Amino acid sequence: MFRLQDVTKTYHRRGEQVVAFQAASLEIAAGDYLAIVGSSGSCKTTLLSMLGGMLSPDAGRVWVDNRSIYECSVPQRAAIRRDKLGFVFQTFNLVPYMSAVENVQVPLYLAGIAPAVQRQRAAELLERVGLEDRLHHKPSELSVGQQQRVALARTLANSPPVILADEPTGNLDPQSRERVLEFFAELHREGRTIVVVTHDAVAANDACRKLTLSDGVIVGVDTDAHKRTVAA
Amino acid sequence: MRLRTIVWKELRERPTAMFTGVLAVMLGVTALVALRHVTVFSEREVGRQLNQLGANILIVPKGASLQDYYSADNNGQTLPEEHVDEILLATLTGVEKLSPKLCVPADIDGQPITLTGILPQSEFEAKAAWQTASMFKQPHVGCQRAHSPPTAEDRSPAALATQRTIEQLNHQDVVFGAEAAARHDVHVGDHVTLLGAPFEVLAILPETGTADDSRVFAHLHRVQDLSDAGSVVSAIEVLGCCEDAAGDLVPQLAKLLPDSRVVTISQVVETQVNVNRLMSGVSILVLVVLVLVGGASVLSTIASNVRERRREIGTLVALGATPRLVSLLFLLKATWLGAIGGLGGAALGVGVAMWLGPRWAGISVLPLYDVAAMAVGAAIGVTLLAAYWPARQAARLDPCICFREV
Amino acid sequence: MQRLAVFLATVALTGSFAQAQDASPARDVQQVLTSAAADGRFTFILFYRDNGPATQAMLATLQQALTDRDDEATLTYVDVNKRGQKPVIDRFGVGRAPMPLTVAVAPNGAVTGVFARSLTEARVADAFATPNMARCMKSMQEGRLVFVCIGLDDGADVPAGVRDFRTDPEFDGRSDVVAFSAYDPAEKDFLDQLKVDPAALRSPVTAFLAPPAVLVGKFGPAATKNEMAAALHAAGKCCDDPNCKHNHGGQQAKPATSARRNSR
Ligand SMILES: Nc1ncnc2c1ncn2[C@@H]1O[C@H](COP(=O)(O)OP(=O)(O)OP(=O)(O)O)[C@@H](O)[C@H]1O
Ligand SMILES: [Mg+2]
Repeated sequence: MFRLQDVTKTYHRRGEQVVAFQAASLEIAAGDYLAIVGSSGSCKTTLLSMLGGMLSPDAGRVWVDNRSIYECSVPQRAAIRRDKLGFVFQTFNLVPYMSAVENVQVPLYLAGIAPAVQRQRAAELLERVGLEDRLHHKPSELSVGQQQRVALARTLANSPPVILADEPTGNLDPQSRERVLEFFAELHREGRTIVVVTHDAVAANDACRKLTLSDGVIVGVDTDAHKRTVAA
Repeated sequence: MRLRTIVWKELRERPTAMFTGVLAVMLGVTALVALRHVTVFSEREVGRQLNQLGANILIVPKGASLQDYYSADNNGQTLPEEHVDEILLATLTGVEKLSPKLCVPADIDGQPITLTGILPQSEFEAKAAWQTASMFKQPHVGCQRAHSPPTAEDRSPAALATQRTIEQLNHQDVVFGAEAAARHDVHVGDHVTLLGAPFEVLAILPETGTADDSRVFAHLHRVQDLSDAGSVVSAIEVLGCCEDAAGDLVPQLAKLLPDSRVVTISQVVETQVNVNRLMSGVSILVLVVLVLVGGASVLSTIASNVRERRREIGTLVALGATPRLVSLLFLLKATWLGAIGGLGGAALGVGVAMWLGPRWAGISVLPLYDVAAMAVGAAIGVTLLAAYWPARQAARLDPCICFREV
Repeated sequence: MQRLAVFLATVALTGSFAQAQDASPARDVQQVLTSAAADGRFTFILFYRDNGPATQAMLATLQQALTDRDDEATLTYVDVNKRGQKPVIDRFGVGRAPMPLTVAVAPNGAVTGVFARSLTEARVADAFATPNMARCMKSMQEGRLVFVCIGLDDGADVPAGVRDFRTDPEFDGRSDVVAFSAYDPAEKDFLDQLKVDPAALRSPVTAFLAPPAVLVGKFGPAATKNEMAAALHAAGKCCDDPNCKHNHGGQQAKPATSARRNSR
């Protein structure tokens, strides 16, 4: 699914090099459930952004489904994100002035689906995350856990084969966190590729593989044999 | 959901954020539209006066001020009435009718009103012989014509409104201007007392939109007697037969009556023409101000909106929006601002012009849809232009911002 | 010395003026006019408001000009301030005219000259219209059309076209004919005014005049009624300027003649 080759990314702050991410090679297979762990500032988000086609590396290539995404045009990259990648954010990033159903409609709209179909599909997705009675609530009128579920419904709107999540459980109470993790497991069982950045040991343990970053360098990949068989 | 739903939802959610931008555009458009309306109608009025009164010449006292043709006879100074006969005796080519007038203040039931003494054309009949007498001695050249009979239209008292002369007016008759009649609630056949004397209302003039509307007209000699003014007039209107003749008449009349001021309608409207030219210039200035102030205001509004919505933009990009769509989002928002400001400003501007036109410039103003449409177009153009830069910035924003905590 | 002479002359004139005033009391102007008409004399009426220098000067000019025309003209005076003069003042429409003002009246009642403020002897002489000129003026002052038929012999003939015109219902009764011979020495002035040269004349000519003072045209003996009516229509226009208010639509189709038809 993903392949990184000789990727480096350097941040500069006032002319000074701050941190560098480096990866000689990394491969994430389709259907994989990968947790990226590491201390704060170890470039976990940086790696996830590069996988999501959101941040171009200084050098090297990133392949998504055998396409070197940073050699594609900007609209092509947008189309890849729209069709193949679903993002889950720590702070959900719901559009505050839109209701739950409208938030879920956004990716459907971006995929060029007719408004009537958008509404119906969005309602179905919200039903799937258990929010059928909260369709017309604004994010501010929803609990934090409900907001994350709306965000999940939005992520799944275009049924992406890949889910990229940046600390999806960081802001949640234990019960909501449990729900989200169960959901991820379910999505994984459906055959989707899941890459999740997390500080949460429990969440990391749910994954098949654990990739550890330290100061921008991959220091280890733990494979959980038991989980991999599940995935297979 | 469509692009416009997204824009509209946001505008509706926080209308105040866009307030300054809309306000600046709206005020600019208001000023522009109001100014253009007043200018256009003022120009039309000047054109109409030139057209209708082009052949007319006014003879007024030397010191009289000339703001408006229709009220030029109400200047408080007078000329001897014999000037009327002097003009007739001079048998100048192109003089068709003479209309001497005397304006005196009067009141009806304690309310002040301008009483204007006019001389009906029938008074000139005895003097027609004067022209015949000089026929063979001073033959006319150029514009010369045999008498036409007064038409039915000429003979109706309403002719005073359109032709500026009246055929018949007895000493006890008065003719009311439309507005004066309405204000004092008088009707044809009513009796009124003016300057202590009884009068009967002969006619009520149709509305003309000029100072005549608020006046009352009576026989010149009666007004002279009642006001103890003597044989004087405030102004003599010379109705030339055509514009060319009027042009030739001016120097001749000036020579004949050296103690008075002889002016043509084009001279009367000259000030107005200059004011109109100035207003046209000012509208260009207002347009520049609209572009600069409105544009700057919209630019800052949209720029701050982009800054506020950075995370949202990043999220949209993560969800698959192209940079082009992001720019479009802000350009559409700007179009809305321009349209709202422009439409509001155009409506307000037309309203202001319709309200102020009659009060300040003495002209009635009607909505000019092309001017309003052009102003709205200009407003949208300005906002689009101003929003272009922030919209591009939005498209270039680093989408990774969506991963950051608030 | 010269000044003294002027002064004396003024005193003398004032004296004569005062006498004249007494001699022709206000109410008698009508009588003066009537008797002058009977004698075939012109009447010069001097209207004045005050006895100022302008009045004096006009009087002097009139007296000077009329010295040798005692049998042709009478001079009379009207003080416009006098109440009893109103009929004559109104008849000539001079109530508000600049004063002094002299009106010349032909024996037939036609006004042949109106002079305000100042006067020259030459203009006084001009006021002596020939008899036929006076007839024309009288007709036009009454608002009528005039056909001046100038014949080659004594019995000036009225052309058929003119007769037709005069009997046309549209113009019926509103025109007059003044006929005389081109060789009448008394009418030399009039012929000059009409620019008719008797020596060059081969056939009778008709001058068509319309009030207040328009020469509509000159026609030969063969001219038809319609030609004359067309010329009259054209005279209703004032000029060829397309912007002229008389050149629009219905206005010009109206016959110029009906001038006084509807007037009282
Ligand atoms: N736009 C940027 N400009 C400069 N430096 C940046 C930028 N983004 C990230 N960095 C720096 O790069 C380093 C890695 O950042 P990154 O967000 O990838 O870390 P992280 O592993 O996700 O940390 P956390 O667990 O706290 O989210 C950090 O030290 C950060 O300060
Ligand atoms: Mg991070």
